[in-house]
Amino acid sequence: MAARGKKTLLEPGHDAEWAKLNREKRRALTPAPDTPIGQLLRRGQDLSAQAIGLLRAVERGGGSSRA
Amino acid sequence: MAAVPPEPKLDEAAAAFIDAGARFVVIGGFAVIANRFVRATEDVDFLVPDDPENDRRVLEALRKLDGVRMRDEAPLRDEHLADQAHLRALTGAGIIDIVRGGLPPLDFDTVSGEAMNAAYDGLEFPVAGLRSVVGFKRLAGRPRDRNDLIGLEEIYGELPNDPLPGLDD
Repeated sequence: MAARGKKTLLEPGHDAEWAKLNREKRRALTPAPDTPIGQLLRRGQDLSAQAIGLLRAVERGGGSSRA
Repeated sequence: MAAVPPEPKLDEAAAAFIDAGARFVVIGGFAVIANRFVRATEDVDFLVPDDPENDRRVLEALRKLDGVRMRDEAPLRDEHLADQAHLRALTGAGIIDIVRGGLPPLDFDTVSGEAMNAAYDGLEFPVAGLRSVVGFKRLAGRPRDRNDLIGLEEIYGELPNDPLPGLDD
């Protein structure tokens, strides 16, 4: 079922809304300047491990479009 | 400065949605990664259909993940998603963006039909395929999106380029 147009941001013309959402997310995800480097590295390492896990999961799932 | 939200946990988020019977497709940074361009992402993005019953299940899943509306940390209520194009929740599985499907080819049914399957132990869920990811990135057009397209092009060569309403006409 397609969205009814007014109910989606996935069409041209919503740049201001997306910019606001992106700013909000950037603010939330920017670590405090005094965040220990080790903590940042651990977070990066965890995210990288998760990315590799997803790649493996897609390979296990067939690795191609369902269509 | 507020504490940084928990790191995203895609499999936990997906498991909660599946348990709640909610339909969704993974889009955003994790979908880019699943299409082999590995780069950082710090949130989970789910595309959902325009379906009130599914909205109810999405909210159930988000509540199970201890989700609140991110902008004001309000407990999740039906009206936060009903008739809304987007909901951002702060959850125990990180930030989860719920994005309503768009016009074809970025509508839920098309994206879902072209999705790949991610198979974890005891858990399977759909992740947007290359055609859809390229469409989302072309529509968004931020520097990061353009960089994703460059990265994907280096992997796949010429990318599928479906016309997008309002962008290509």
